[in-house]
Amino acid sequence: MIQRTYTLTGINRAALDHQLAQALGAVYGGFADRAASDAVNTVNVTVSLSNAATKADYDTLDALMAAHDPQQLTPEQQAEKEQQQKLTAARRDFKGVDLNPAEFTDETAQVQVLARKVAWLEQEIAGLRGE
Amino acid sequence: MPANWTTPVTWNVDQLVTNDDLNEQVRDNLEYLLSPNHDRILRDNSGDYAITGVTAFQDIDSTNLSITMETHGGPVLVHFMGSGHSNGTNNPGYFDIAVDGTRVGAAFTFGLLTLGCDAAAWMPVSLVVLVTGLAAGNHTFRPQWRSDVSDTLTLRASSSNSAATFEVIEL
Repeated sequence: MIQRTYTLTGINRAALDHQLAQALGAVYGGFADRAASDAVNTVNVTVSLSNAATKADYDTLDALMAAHDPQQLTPEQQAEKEQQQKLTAARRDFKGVDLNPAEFTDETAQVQVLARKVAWLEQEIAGLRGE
Repeated sequence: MPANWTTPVTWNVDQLVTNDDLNEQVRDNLEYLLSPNHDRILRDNSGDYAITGVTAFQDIDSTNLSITMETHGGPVLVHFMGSGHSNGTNNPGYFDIAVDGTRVGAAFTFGLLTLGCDAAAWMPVSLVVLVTGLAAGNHTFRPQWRSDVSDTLTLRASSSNSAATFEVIEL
């Protein structure tokens, strides 16, 4: 196992791991990171490569580490961020506006039961969230 | 400063015992037994340690979490303690102790300890192992860890939260 250490300003671990695994394949052995002592938000990252790594692999590694942008998200992180934004917007839009089953008295019996159950679930979730 | 250990002499009949003999055999050995070889590290790394996608055991910190000690052939108690978490509910971490570069738990894929943890809580990591069969001489002890593919394992080591503690004592 061979290790190389780089100093980065910020790190997105999931994104960096994804990039390195994609680019280096089987020679990639993960990385360790720790705060650099000289500056806030600066980290020392030590990447492990197997002994089978070639010069081309090291060149690829150097380039990826130099280009690492902690603000660049993986597809999974982007999807999670968008989901969180939707949830935040929904919470904002419906905060303090509880479902009132009485507004469904003109609907069928099935819809009225559904409205009461949704209202109940709304209260259960609010309780779980401590709202 | 603890005295050094000297192998006890088997005394003979009519053997002349000098003050140097008594000092070495009684005083120094008793002082050593009262305070045997030991060392302790309370590591402040000014931030967390972390590994991502590291599937082969490696030192947590080969410089600052490393104890080299001259032993006398006795058993050695090694203790590592800290606070860890992973980046998901099904992403455990694994810990072991290396003696002169060889893991004590080498026969076990996941080493001596599996830490079942998640991203929401810091969990205690406490690993104690008695190392036996060491020949007298210098030996280096280091805690090691690994994760699974794509998982991140984090260990606290900062004066603003908790220390990573590593200690070794020859019994």
